[in-house]
Amino acid sequence: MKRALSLGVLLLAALLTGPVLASADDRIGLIVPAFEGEGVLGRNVTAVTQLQVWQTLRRAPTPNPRKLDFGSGTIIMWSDDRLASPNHEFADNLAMGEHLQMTLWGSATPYGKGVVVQTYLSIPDYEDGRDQHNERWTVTMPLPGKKEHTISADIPRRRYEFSPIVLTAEVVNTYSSPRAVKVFREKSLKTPLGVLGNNFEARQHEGDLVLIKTGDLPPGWVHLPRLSRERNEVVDFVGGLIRVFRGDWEGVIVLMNRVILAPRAPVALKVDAWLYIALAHARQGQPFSDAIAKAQRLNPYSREVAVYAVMGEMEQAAKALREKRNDFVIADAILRIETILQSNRNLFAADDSWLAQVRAILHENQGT
Amino acid sequence: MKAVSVSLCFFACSIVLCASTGAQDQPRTRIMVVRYIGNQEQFQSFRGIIEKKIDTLKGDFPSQYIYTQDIHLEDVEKKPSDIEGFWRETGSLAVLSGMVFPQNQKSYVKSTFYLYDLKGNLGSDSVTLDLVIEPEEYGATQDTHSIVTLYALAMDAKRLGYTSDVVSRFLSRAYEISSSLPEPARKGDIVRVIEAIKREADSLNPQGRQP
Repeated sequence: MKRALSLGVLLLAALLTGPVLASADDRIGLIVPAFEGEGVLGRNVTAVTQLQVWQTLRRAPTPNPRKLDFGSGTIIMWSDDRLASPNHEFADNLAMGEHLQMTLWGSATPYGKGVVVQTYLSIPDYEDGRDQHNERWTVTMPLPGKKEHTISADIPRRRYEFSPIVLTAEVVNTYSSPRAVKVFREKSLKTPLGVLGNNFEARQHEGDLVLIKTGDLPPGWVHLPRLSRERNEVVDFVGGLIRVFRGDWEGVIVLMNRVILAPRAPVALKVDAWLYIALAHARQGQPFSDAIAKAQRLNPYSREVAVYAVMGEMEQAAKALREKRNDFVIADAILRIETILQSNRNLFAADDSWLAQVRAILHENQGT
Repeated sequence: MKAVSVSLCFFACSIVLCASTGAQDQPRTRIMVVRYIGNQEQFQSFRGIIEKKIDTLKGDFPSQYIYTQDIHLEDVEKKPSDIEGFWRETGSLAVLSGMVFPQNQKSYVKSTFYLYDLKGNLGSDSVTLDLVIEPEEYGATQDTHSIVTLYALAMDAKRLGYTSDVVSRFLSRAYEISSSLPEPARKGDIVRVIEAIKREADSLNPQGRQP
C-alpha cells in the first residue's frame, strides 16, 4: 500500500499553561484507509467518518478549571488507498508502518435494497516508542520491607467490530457522487467554493461543521451529515479510545458513556466502555468498582473483565499500603482478589503470565 | 478466498488423510456451504457477508489460537445424500445448507447448520436460522451465523480436550454477540443456541490441554 496521501492534524487555537498529560514526544495517531465500496461511496464515507472522529479530539476540556493539557500530538491520517486485503492483520500492519496506534477501516456493501457500512478498529500490539502508556492499567504495590511490585493490565482487546450502519437512501444518493462533499465559504453553507479533494487539512470544528483547507481552494466549511438515523457508536468509541491513550480521563468518561447509551452498540463495545470508564475513574482517584461490576454483568465469562476486577482490587490495596492503613483493609483486598481468581479460574490459561504476576504479589504479601 | 469445489476425488483424498494423519485429533476448521436453493445472486450476497464475518472472527482470537486462522468456507455444488456422513468424512466444523426465497416483495433465507458431534447441550444435530435479506437485517444475519460458528468452535475445543480458557474464549465471544442480538432476531433455534452457550459456559472444567 502506498503511503497515506493526506493527513488531518489537530490544530489548536488555545495556548494553555498547565500539566501536559501526554509526553511531548508521544504522538497518538489513527489512520483511516479508504473503505471498500463501489465507486466513490466508500471514499466519501471514509472522509465523513474520519472527520467526525477528528471532531472528538481536544487539547483541553472546556471549561478547564484544573488547567489540563493533553498535548497537541494527536494525528489522524487518511489514505485514498484501500487495505490490500480487508482484514485486521493488514490494518495492524498499516498502523505500524505509519508508527500510529490504530487503524479504522471498513466497507460500504450493497445488501438487499440498500447499502451497509461495516467498520472495524485494529490496535496493533507493538513497541511504538512512546514513553507513557496511559492505556495500560498499572499499579505499583509498595510491599512493606520488600521491593515494590508493579503490575500492568493491557487494554481489554485490540480488535473491534462496530454495529453495521444502514445508509439511508438519501445518503447513498448524495455520497455516490465524487462532488458530494462540498466546501463552502461561510458557515451558513451558502457560497460553494468547490469539493473536498484527496488532500485536506482540518483546522477547526463547530458542531457538525469543519473548517477545511483543501487543494488550491481557500479555507472553507464542510457540513458533516449523520450517516444513519440512529446515533452510531463508531465515532464516540474511537474518539474515547484516543482520549484513553492521551490520558484525557474526563473526556473518556463522556465519550464512553455515549457508547453505553448507543442503542445498537455491540455488547463487546459496551463491556470495554465500562472498563475504560473504570480506568478513567481510577486514574482520577474516584470510585470505579461500579463500572467494573456493570461490565461483569454484561459478560460474566470474560477474562479481561476479571483482570480489570483484580486490577481494581490491587489499586485499592496499593492505596491502603501507601497510606499505611491497618492490615485488615489489605487482608480484605487480598481475600477479594483470591475470590475473583477462584470464581474465574476457568477463564485463565495455566501459563497466563499476568496471572503469574498476581500470584507472585499475593505470595510476597502473605510473607509480610 | 479459499472456496473450492468439492469433487469425488477430494472425498477420497480427505478420507485417506483422515485415516493416515489422525484427523480426529485435529481442530475442525472447514465450514462446508452447500449451494443454497433459490436466487443465486441473493445467495452469493448472503454468502459474501458470512465469509466476511468468518474472516473478521479469526481476528478476535490471540495468536496462540493459531488454528482459528484456518477457518474458512468451502463451496459444495450438490447437497450430499448423507449429510452426517459428509460431515464426518470431511472433518467439517459445520455443514451449511439452505434456501433463498421471495415472499411479500422481500427475499428470505433459511440456513441450516449441521453440527452432529459438536451439538453439545443443543439437544439436536442441527440449527435452522430464518432471516431476511435486507440492509436492516445485515447485523442479525452476521451475528446469528457467528454465534453458531463460535459455539461449534467451543464444542470442538471441548472435544479436543483443550483447557477451559480456550473453550471459554469462544463461548465468551458467542455470549457477547448473542447479548447484542436485537429482540426481533431472538426467535426459533437461535434461542436454543444462546441457552446452550450459557449452560456450557457455566459448566466448564479448568482441566485440559493446550491447543
